[in-house]
Parts: sequence; C-alpha cells; structure tokens
Amino acid sequence: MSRRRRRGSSDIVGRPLKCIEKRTDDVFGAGWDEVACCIQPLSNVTVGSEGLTITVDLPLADEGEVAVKVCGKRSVEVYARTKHTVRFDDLGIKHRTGEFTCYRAMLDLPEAVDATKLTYEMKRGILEIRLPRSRQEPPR
Amino acid sequence: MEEDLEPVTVIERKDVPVGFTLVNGLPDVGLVGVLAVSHLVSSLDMEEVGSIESETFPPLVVLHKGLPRSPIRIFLKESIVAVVSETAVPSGTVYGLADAIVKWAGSKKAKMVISVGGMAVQNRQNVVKPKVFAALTDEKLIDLLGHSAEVLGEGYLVGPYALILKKCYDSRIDGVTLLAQSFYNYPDPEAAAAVLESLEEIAGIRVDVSELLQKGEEIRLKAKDIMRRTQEEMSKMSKSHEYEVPPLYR
Repeated sequence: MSRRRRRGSSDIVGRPLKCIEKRTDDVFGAGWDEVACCIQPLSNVTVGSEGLTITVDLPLADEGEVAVKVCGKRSVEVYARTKHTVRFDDLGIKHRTGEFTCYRAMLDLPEAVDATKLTYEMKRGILEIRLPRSRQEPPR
Repeated sequence: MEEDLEPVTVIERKDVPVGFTLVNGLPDVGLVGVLAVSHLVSSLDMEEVGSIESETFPPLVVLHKGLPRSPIRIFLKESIVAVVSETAVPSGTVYGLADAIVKWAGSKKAKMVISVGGMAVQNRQNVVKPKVFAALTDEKLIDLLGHSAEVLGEGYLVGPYALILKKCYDSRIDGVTLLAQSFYNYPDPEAAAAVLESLEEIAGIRVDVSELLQKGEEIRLKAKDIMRRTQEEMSKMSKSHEYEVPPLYR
C-alpha cells in the first residue's frame, strides 16, 4: 500500500502559483514597486562578535522619516520616506510610469536578535542598524 | 590556453589613432569605475567610436535616444580612449573581455592602460575622503602617482581588472589599476570622484567632479539596479578573496 501523502487541492494550486509568483518577482522584482509606490533599497547584513550590523542604502531619503521595526526574532522591516517624489521620468525612463515616495524592505536575519536593544542612525544616506544577538541563542 | 577563450571582439566604428591612454570603467565594487568613466565621457564630451561585442554577453542592447547601443562602448577624445560598460560583466566572459581589451590596446600601441574601480572598506560611511590605492605593472610608474595614490603593496585582486593588469604586465604594456575606498555593494559616486582626482595627477586628465558629488544621491538611486546585478557577478568571481591576506610575500 502506498504511504505517499495525497496532495490536497491547495498543494496542487499552491505550488504552481508560488512558481508563477517567483517568476513574476524575477521580472518585476528589480526593486521598484509601482503599485505600492515603494523602492526596495540595497542592503547588507554583517555578523560581528557583538551582533548584527545592517546597512541600507537610502539615497534621497528624508533622514527624519526613517522607521525600523524588528519583526519576530529574525527579520527587520525598514521604512523611509523620500525627500520628494521620485518619478521614472526624473531618471530618464519614459516607457514606465511610476511615482515613488518611500523605501520599504523586509530583511531576513541570519541569527536571532534582541529587539529591545535595537539602535540605528543615518549617516550620509546610509542607514546603519545595530542589533545584539538574542541571549537565548549562543554565537555560532 | 588562449584558444579556449570565448571570442570577444573590439569593433572600431571610427578610426582610433594609436598611442592613446586607455581608461577602463567596468562594473565592480561600488560601481566606482562605471560612475567615474561615465562622468569622464560626459564631461569631456567624448565621441563614441566603437564597442566590444561577444555572443557570450547577455542578449541586450542599451537604448539611448531610442537608438540601440552596445552595453560596452568605446569613446575617444584626443589621445584619451575610454571603455565603459553599462551592464554587469558576466563572470564567465571576464577572461575573454580582459584579453580582447589588452590585445586591442597592444595593437594600438596604447601609452598606458588605466583601470579605475573601488576597494571596499568596512565602515565606508565614516570615511569622508576616500583614499586611492594603485597596483602597477612596473616600479617606474610609482613616480607618476605622486601624492594621488598609495601603492597597493600586498594583496589579491579579483575580476576583470586583475586580468587586465596581469595581461598588461605579460604584454609589457604600462598598466595602472586605481582603486578608491568604497562601499562594496552600494554605488559610490564619492569614490568615483576620488579616483578621477588621482587620474588627473597620473595621466593629466582633468575633470570637474563637482557634479558627480552634487548629484550623488540621484546617481546612487539610478545605479542601484546595475549594482544589484554586479553584486551577483562579483559573488560568482569570489570577489571576497580580495579582502584576504596573502600567505606569502615576494
């Protein structure tokens, strides 16, 4: 008798959908979300002896309108408003229409962090976030 | 082994006189080379005279004013020739590209081949004025640096500039690689300005960098997509090797 689990209808529909979702992301996922008017910034996560340092490149961001939130123990959400509306037209792109007023990124972290010790600062358009490791998880 | 290299061809659409100084701006750390040489091309109002083509490059053209252009183009102004790429160079084509550039430079009796780029440093955001380092094909070139750059004594270079420098050395062509302290994976116009200032002292190529600095934020935003693709290619080339300490010296 076969012990293979039968795939439910959600599996059958869900897998191809996920695949399509990924392909759509490949095409339109270059970091300009025209629907949400958001730009996905470049970012970098470094693991150090004290914890994690995350930098996010936020050119044209309003330094007073930056928000950082730890979501669970292994991800960080970054939001920043731009100083002014950025249009594709401003960047010389004529065939796409889009206006962008903010940056938004959800960054996965390689280690669990202590959200209560979150600190961040903007330096010349670069957001630097520091997060110590969660005490429950020893360094790897 | 040269027969095994993927064919890359330099196409001259207009006559390029011999004896020029060649400046390379290929996508690399912080996109320093691309930003610097693009600024050089527009500041000096250089004329497009050719391109570098290969079937191994991605099947794309760059549209400028509605016209298709090769992503790797060659520009000329008097005795200065610039090569600049507007797309990430696929890691698999780096050997062929470096070979084609150096062979062409040799055939045109280039006076010097200068590659400009970045060298990532931690805490780049705390560096106000990026330092510039130089790798050279000949000790006699050290005098040219003056105070504009410090010789890169020991270390690794990875990527197209590493191969261009080595091939220049093998072909006895004077070669200099100028690397400004920069971000690794963020476009860095300040580093591009620093490297252009060194270029002035070394090759006498004078360019006003104020626009590059004033429009820095816009440039960073505009360049973020090519930076993302370049980062993917740098990972394939083991670019992180550049930040390791070599075990031997001399």
